[in-house]
Amino acid sequence: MPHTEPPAMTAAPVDPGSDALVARVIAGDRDAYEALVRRHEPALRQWLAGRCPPGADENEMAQRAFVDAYLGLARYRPGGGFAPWLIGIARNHLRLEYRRLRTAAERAQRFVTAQLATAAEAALDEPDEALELPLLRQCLDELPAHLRDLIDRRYVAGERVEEVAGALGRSVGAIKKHLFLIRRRLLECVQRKRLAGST
Amino acid sequence: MSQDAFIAAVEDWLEHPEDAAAEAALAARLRAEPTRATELAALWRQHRRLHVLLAPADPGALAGSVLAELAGRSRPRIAFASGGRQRSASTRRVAARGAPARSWPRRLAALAAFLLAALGLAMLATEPESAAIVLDGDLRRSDGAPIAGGRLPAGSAVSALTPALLRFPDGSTVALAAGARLAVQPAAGLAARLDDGRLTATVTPRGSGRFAIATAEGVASVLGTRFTLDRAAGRTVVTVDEGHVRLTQGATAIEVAGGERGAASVAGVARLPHDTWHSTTIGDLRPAAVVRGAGPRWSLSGCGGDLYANADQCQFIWRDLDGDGVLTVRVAAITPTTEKMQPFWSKAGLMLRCGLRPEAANVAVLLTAGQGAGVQWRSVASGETADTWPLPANQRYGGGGPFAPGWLRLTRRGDEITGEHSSDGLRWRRLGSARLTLPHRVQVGLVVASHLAGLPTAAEFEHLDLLPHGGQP
Repeated sequence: MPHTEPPAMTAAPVDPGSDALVARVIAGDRDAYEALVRRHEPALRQWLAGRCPPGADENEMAQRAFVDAYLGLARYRPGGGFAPWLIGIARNHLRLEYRRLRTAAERAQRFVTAQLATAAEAALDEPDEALELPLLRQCLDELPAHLRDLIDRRYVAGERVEEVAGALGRSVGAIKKHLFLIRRRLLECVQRKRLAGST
Repeated sequence: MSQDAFIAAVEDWLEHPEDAAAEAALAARLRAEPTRATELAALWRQHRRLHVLLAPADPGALAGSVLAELAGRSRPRIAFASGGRQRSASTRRVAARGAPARSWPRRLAALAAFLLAALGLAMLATEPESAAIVLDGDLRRSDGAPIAGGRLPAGSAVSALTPALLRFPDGSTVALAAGARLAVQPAAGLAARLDDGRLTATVTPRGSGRFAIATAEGVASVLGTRFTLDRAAGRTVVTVDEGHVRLTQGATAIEVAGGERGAASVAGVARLPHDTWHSTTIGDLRPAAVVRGAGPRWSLSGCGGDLYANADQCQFIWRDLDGDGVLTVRVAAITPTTEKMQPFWSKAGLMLRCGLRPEAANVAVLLTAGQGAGVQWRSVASGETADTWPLPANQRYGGGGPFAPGWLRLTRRGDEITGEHSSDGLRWRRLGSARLTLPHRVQVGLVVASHLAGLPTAAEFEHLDLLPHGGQP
């Protein structure tokens, strides 16, 4: 049972609260748009989490989607769900971004970036990221304490690998290896849980 | 290619994806072994997910930058609703050009509509500036009427039917808990007056002037900070997350710094004891607990054991309590990790213990992942545990779960300990009481147990608060 609230992206499409806010924005109340952004920002970030290739920033993509959504609000149909409509806008932005990144990466001979932009585009329509994150959180909670501590240092505290190694009295190489193996372990764990949930 | 070399190249690049040299080193590895590309893509996605999950962005920052970008742009085109269909203003103009000439009655109706619209615009233009704007939530005026247009003029008195968010003209925000009652800009120099309930203010730093909120007991004035104000039963408690808050009552004032709490009542203003909590594993926990947090917020996972029978296995986050006191917390989530844990007796809540030994006498008020809320107690050391579950899951969620989020309160008065539950932290329901022979000093705090040894569970807590001596500062 995930302990994060189901994000708006996976909720039922009918969203009267958002529709009321859209009506206020269209009536000229720009401040109501702040409420809309706050309401849909977490789920949009989750959707973008596994889809942004290197060089495409989630913040920037989310901002572009919200700005475009604002400018195109007249095209929004109440009752259709603001969240899926917003995702559609973000998806279009991502497609353009993949192409731009691939072109720039190939020109600069950045092989890895080009490869990952291609892989990210192929994964664009995979199952919703919002379903992946609760499983990932469960897998994190199942990690032994010393491995969870490594992840927390790297991602929560934002420590560099060298800092983690220094704090724990380990070699940099050992910390790199641990981080790599933990990520792979988490991938396998999420996949296992997803399969268990689908059967 | 050695595995270690690939790992080193991946980790170097993940840390510095913008670094061309790191990318070139990784590219060389990938060209030598192209099948690794799929693995790298999966690891990159996992890396980004971990960032989003564990280092979430500052809430509201994106809204600020979106609005800043929109500040120089025109508003969205007006949409007209007609018979369930909508057309944009530009579509309507195109349609009008192709339409036949209108009849006089229709022209008069159009003129009347134009005049009404012009009048409305004129009224809007002369409307005084709002003292606050409702960004989210259901706020009502004292007569129960909803807030028109989401704008609160100075002097408005409102009640929050749901959690609500307000923004003040300087960009400061105030989050109201459901049930809170607030007056906006009730007097010059005051942003608001909290009449009842709880709010959390995030105050934008200012060049001059102060952001001040009053209650009946005192005034909290700040200069760029984040704090929570809680008013109930003739007492106001301020909990400061960042910055400083000055708590004033008449001529008396105290400074409350980040991480500290202060209180005001008819007795005056006082700094509350510093929140220092200890974490202790009680009994044999398998898996062991992973504990993160401090002060009012805690996250516990692992905790494979049970609270029952003659001895406990649990993780206990605790402080000493001398004499009477009230312990409160919001249980934000309880997560049993597998279906094997059905029927979801994983427990998270508040406990009073006579010591830290597994068999110690204790009383706990608990939320479970799927079995409702209740109180259980062991009257004497090594005795049996008794319990009562007056709020089972099937009364509140139709047999479903999870039961969290919810508020719990444990009150000690003499030898009687009472457990209560609330869905909003304001209206409480008594779940049960136990009478034990207690020493003057007991240990009180948070407790989590999965119910099943070998299987982990996780729980998240917010707003942990201990008020000693019956709740007086």
